[in-house]
Formats: sequence, structure tokens, C-alpha cells
Amino acid sequence: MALVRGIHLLADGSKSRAREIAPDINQYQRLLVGVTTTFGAGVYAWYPSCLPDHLKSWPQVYFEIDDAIIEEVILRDGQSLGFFRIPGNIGNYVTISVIEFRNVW
Amino acid sequence: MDTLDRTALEERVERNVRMILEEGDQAYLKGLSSDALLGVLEKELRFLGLYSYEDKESPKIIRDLLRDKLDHWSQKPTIRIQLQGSENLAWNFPSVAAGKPVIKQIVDFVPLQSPPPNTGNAVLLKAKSTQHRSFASK
Repeated sequence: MALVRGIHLLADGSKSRAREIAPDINQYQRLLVGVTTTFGAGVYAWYPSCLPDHLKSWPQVYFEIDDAIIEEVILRDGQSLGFFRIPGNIGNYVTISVIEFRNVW
Repeated sequence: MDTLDRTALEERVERNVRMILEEGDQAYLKGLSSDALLGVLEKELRFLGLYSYEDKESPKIIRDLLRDKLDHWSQKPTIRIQLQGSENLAWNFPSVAAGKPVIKQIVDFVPLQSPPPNTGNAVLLKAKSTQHRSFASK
């Protein structure tokens, strides 16, 4: 099993909301699948080296996950968008291993 | 925001919106009302890092831009039909009216044909599977 690291942006950039959900994420090592499914249902996360500058100050959780579980989001021409999807059903949770939270507290 | 910054932002918005509309889950996007589609696009553009959380001006510009241009960006390319011995005929898909799901409008214009017995589902499943792999597989 190979592990890959990812950065999931919390609460659309809202630090106050991120502070509310971070304890659950940390305690249960899980992320909730939201309702926006433009590239398929699941939790989306950036590869750390691909995170756009404008998003670096957002509240985020840095984590590890088995790379066999994730699906990199790739355009038809083969270009990677720099983020991946952890497949899951809307309203369910996906399991991650939290490394640390950033810009939350 | 000066003119150059605004122009650059508008170009990035258009490029990314076209990418989302072309590469995103078509069934999901076409099932959204115009208002819901605007909301989803705003969220996706934020996720793609087009502006910082503290930037209060860009979201307003993006929202206005989407309201003005989304109808144009979401139009299918014009299909040109060459009939023997006739002029080129151009067909433009209908524009997206506010509040109406996009899929409904396409259904309005394209007569549905029943699939051949025992083959329709298989064809549909194959097409869906191919689409999924094309934009979201490793």
C-alpha cells in the first residue's frame, strides 16, 4: 500500500466553521462527502505541490490516504487538474489519516 | 482592481467555466437549474483558487460575469449541415432560460427515440462508463 498526501480545504474558507468541524475530523479521522458533485461524488483534495497560492491561507486539513482509494481528476486530454477525489456517497464519510490542521486556530 | 487585473480574471473565469462545463459530470450539471448552476460554478471557481478568501471584489465580478456570459459559454457549438446542392444550414442549440433545467430544454428540441429492444440499457451503461473514465480516472 502506498500512501499519498492531500490537502482538503475546510468549510469553503470559513475559519469559524472550520473550527466547528475540525474536532470531529480529528477524533474520527474522517471527512464528510458534500453535495457538489461536478467531477463525481466524493471528497476533493489538492496534491500539496499543486495547491494554488490563493488557497494557501484557507483553513485546511493535511492528511494521508491509501493511493489505491483515490481517483485523480484528469481532463480528457490527459491534463491533471492537481487535485483528486476520494469517492463516496453524499452524506457519508470517507476515512483519512490526519497529519495536521492549518490556518484553523 | 485595475483593467488588466479584471481582464485577466475574466479570461481565467471563462477558461475554467468552459472546462467545468465540458469535463464535469454532464448528468449532474444538466440537471441543475440556472440558479443552481451559477452557485455550483461559483463554488468550483473558489475551489480552483481564482481569488483569496479575503478578496471581496472578485466574487462580485465573477457573479456578474457568470450572469452575463454563462448563457453564451454553455451553448453547444453550432452544428453545420451540408446538404447536397444546398447552402450550409446552421443549427444553434437553444439558449438556457433562467430557472429551467438545461436537460429539459435539450429534451424539448431533440425527439427521443426508443432504443432497440434489449440493447438500450447496455448502450447507455457503456456510454456512462466511458464518460466516467475520461475525466475522473487514474
